[in-house]
Amino acid sequence: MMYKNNDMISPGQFAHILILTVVGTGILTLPRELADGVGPDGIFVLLLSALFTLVAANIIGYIIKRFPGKGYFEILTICFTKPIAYIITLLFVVYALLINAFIIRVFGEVIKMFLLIKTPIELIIFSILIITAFLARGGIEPLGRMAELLFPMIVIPALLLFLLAAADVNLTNLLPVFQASPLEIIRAVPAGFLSFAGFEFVLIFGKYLNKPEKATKAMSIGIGVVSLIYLIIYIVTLGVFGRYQMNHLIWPTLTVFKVISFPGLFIDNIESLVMVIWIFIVFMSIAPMHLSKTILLGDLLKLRERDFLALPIVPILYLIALIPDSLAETYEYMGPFSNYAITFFSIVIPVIILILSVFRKNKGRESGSNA
Amino acid sequence: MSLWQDLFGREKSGEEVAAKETELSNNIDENLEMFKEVLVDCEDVVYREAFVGVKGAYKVAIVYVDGMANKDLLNKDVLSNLMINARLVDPDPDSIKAKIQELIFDQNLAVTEVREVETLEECVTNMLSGETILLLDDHEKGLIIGSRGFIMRGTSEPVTEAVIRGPRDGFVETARMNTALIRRRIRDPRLKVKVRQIGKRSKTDVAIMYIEDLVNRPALEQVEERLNTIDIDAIIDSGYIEQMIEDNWQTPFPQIQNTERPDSAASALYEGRVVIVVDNSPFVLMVPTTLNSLLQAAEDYYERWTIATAVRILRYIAVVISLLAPAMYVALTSYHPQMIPIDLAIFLGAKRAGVPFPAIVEALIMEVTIEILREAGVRLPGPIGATIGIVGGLVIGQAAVEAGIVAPLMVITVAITAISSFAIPNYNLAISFRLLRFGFIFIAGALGLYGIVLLMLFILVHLCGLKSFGIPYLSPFVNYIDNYTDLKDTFVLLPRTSMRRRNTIAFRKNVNRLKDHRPEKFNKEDNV
Amino acid sequence: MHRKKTYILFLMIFFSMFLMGCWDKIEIEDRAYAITIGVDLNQDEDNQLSITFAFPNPSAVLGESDEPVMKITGAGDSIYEVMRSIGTRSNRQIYLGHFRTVLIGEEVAKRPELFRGVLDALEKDPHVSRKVNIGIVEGTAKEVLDIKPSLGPDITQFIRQIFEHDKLINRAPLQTLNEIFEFMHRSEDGLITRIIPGATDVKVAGAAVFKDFEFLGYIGEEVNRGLMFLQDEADIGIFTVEHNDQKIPIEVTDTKTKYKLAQTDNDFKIIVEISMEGDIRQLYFDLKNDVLETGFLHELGSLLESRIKANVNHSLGVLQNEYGVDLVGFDEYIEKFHPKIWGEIKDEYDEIFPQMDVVIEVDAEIRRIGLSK
Repeated sequence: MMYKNNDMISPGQFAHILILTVVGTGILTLPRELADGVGPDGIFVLLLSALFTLVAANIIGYIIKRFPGKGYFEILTICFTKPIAYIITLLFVVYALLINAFIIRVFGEVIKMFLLIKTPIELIIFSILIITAFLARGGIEPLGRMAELLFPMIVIPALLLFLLAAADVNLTNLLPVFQASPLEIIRAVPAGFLSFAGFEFVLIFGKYLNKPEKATKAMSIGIGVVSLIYLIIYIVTLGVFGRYQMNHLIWPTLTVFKVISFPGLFIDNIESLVMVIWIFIVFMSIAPMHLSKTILLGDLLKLRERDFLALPIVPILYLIALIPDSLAETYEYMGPFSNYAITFFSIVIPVIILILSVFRKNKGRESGSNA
Repeated sequence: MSLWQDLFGREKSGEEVAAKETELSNNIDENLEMFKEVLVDCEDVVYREAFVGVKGAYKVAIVYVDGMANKDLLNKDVLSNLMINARLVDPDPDSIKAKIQELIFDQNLAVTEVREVETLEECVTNMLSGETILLLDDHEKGLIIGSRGFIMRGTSEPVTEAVIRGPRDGFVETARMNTALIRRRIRDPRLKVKVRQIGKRSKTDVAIMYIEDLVNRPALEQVEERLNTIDIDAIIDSGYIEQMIEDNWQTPFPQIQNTERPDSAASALYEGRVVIVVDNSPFVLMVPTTLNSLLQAAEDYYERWTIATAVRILRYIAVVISLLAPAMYVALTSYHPQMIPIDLAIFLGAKRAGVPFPAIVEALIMEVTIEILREAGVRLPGPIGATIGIVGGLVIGQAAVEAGIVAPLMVITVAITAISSFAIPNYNLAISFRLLRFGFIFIAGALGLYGIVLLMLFILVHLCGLKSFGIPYLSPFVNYIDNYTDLKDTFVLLPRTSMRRRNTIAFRKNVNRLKDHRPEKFNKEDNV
Repeated sequence: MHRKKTYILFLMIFFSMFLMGCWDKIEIEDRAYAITIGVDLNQDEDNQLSITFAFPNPSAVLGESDEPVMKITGAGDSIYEVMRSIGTRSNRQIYLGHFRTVLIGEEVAKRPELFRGVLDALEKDPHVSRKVNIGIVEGTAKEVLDIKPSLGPDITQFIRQIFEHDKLINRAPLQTLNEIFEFMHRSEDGLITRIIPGATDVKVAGAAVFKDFEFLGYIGEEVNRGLMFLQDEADIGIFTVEHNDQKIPIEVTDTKTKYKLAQTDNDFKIIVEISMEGDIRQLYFDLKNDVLETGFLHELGSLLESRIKANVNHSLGVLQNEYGVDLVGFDEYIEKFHPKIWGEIKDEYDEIFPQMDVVIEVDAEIRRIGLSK
């Protein structure tokens, strides 16, 4: 007989989930997006995006503090009315489905290209989905533990590998700075901000935080760590390739590893090892999203036992992931969609919630009852 | 569905062995009749009737099992006292009866353990445990005399957990001796021992031991609750209990640790865990358990910390190797040769040119062979077993290479894997890894490196959801932000003086165990 | 019950995946590990490339055969096409995971569309490491691959090891794909090592000049040395100076090059400062001069300086006048350190470069003189 999961995660696990979700979504194309158009000034784009994200994340943290123990659906019901809450939650589920499918498709393509050339992509996608559903079925606790467990296992080897690549870094590739005008930099910030996407999902997990007052601290630390990681990746990739070459590479972060050659290291082509780390990263990005879909659907349908919902979502994801015919089409579909959707869900909705919560709280206090 | 129910389902109803409660009667002859009725055909039960008192007026009887009761004690301390010394009583028959009881009970029986019971069942159970029943005439209670004296093994070094440095006593099959071995190491009145009997027919003594102000309370409650739910015929070994109170019986990973060493049990108690001692089994159970504690060996703590740290790290590496080595071989040679240095790759290719099987079949053949060898080695007595293991391995491996069935690198891989699995201190865990290894080989054969990662993720997800009596199985790796002090005892072992705080699963109030820092050096020159 | 059922379902689905086919499994002995690829021009209009794959012979590793290298040639329009079509003629699959060197025949280099195609194929392939070496062969690649080097063991290793050698003494730019790509992406010009096939060995010396992906010609070893100095990539090298009719070889080490930009009215000039140390390798036996006398060393130093200055100037002249390509990296320098100026001149850089005013300053110090005087 199993001891029941008490469904609580610590702030540490919360921060870890946050870090891994965000890193997984943006990491592959990050350097190219930053350097696009502004070249080495991308560093400022990165810093500004990080600050911006910090603010947005803190808004979410604050919301969690304000409504401790309440799920996304509940918060929406309090701030808006029930029907609107239904619509927004449903939209969120659809949004999560699409982003999830997008990441999975890219993941499948990468794996197929680097590791298993002839294996049908359907199998690759399906297999990772099964394991994701398995994790989502366990609830939030195993997810928190996985995040805390895997974080050092991912980050430390990754940083070591980057250090090895640092031998090939040509620091002059980071110049010239201060070339782009402030206007150009600011215009590029939205693209940079998109690399931080993923943090809005933790709003759904705020309900399980066992110390909600630490939410803002956890968010800030999480975003800080992500920014640091991104900074290192950016500097190394730009240093190794130079801005002109980087524009031609689809996935600069992965291509960096093809340049590594450490004398005496017996493993020749290290990128297969990097693939292992990559699979972990993507898995830890997809799993929280899958879990949030399960939670939201369970809330919408007012179910008590919602763990089995993880499984039916799998075929839906699978089909959506296979819709685009090629990688280019995938990026084409996702481009404008993600711009609007991500901004909507990570900035617009939390801000509205915040404003409305202030009003409602006031109203609540006056009438002496809480919604 | 009915096949499913048969295999995995739960039984709706079983036979109920009714608990009868038969009172003893006043008349000793009736009592003896009851005894003989219940114990008909048990010809190792001895009935001894005697007449005590002046002129032998008072009838008493003792009943015991030959071979389990200590006859010396019965002769010297019970019978001789009753028959010889009780003659000093006043010859008046009425007062004899009244006094005799008092006399016998309070003054004459020079035995250390005496109790009174009222039902036949209790008498019988106790007698079958080795105690002696003393029946008195005109007395509706029976007296149970503690006289257990069956043969038991002297304490010896545990075979499965040998150490180079450390105590060499091991548990025996008697529960009471085992609790004594533990008590020697914890001379604290707060060490509690609670005994109960489990098993309808075996009525095995099961003792729960814990240190009151250190133990993890929820775990303790869970243990007691779960033990109460055991409804079984017989407990033959602690393994039975282990399987019945485990959190998750479907997983290959053991959630309860067992040991034959009293010092391991004692330190588990100090850590705030609960120890379960089962009669007739030299293996005691320790709960709650984490994966980390399964990879610790007793002597890590007795040697210096630098060595212990190195050995620990080595052990973790051995774990990884024993799980993944053959699978990596299959994955790399069949799917991703770019990871192998070019010269090795060419050489491998050359050597394998004549081998008829693909790498995965090779791996499976060799692994199965090694497993069979291992099992065979366990069954064979003493030196033959060890020799077969080594000789078998070498010779068969060499012969296989020459016959062209496997590649030499495969033999090396399999050998290293087998050796690494011996480095795992806990036998249960090593077995489960053996199973998992096969899983890895299969999936490596199907999907290469991706398959290995996939299965590893699967296992990790599974482990993350596993709890052992309330403690996450993978502590302290999964909650190190809050409990970072626990990390001092995982793959590194920091010096004793820096482990000042107690294990976090213990009761939270008692946090510090080392008061002061040890002074920097003992060697400092003191103003000579 | 729900929980257990879904759990079992998961397990079944998961484990059923193991039973599916293994699409990518190719046993290790079924692969041919191509180490060197030679790309040549084929006269056929349909299959314009003739590609040779050289891979080590496994039986040679076991000592059973004398042929260390096996080659297979195919014709097609691209590397990959040839790889697949060769499958009909070989019992092993060609595998590019380990390959190390590309040899491009001169004729192919002269056709930009083919050349660019080959480069792109190398960039796109996820299995090709960017530390691959590339060389333009003065002749055909096939010739080179047919050579049996007297220094053994086989030609593929031979070339690979030459490339990995540090001691090439600056006579050829040793580059990997990464550096070449960097150059090509930035300015569509580049320099690629030249390989000259001989009877029993190859010579790796000099380089091929590309402008706008067009093959313009070769630069020789000496010119290359000067170029190395300009590029701040010079390694140890021997220069011979003449002093009193005595030819003295001096080994130059620790070279550092710095650029500086000096602006005049509406023009600018670039100052290249080269500094180095020298090691005297050979004098006249039993010389009566006292070598430890600093004046003598300074004399030698200035002789060295003028020698190197002449060399570098010559190289620069070749680049500016004969080819008109900036292969030094001045454009990179200006872009990075003086971006404003770069903004002004970048569109006409091609015309500006040949006229650019470059001043070379050399500073050499002779520091060591060996064991004897």
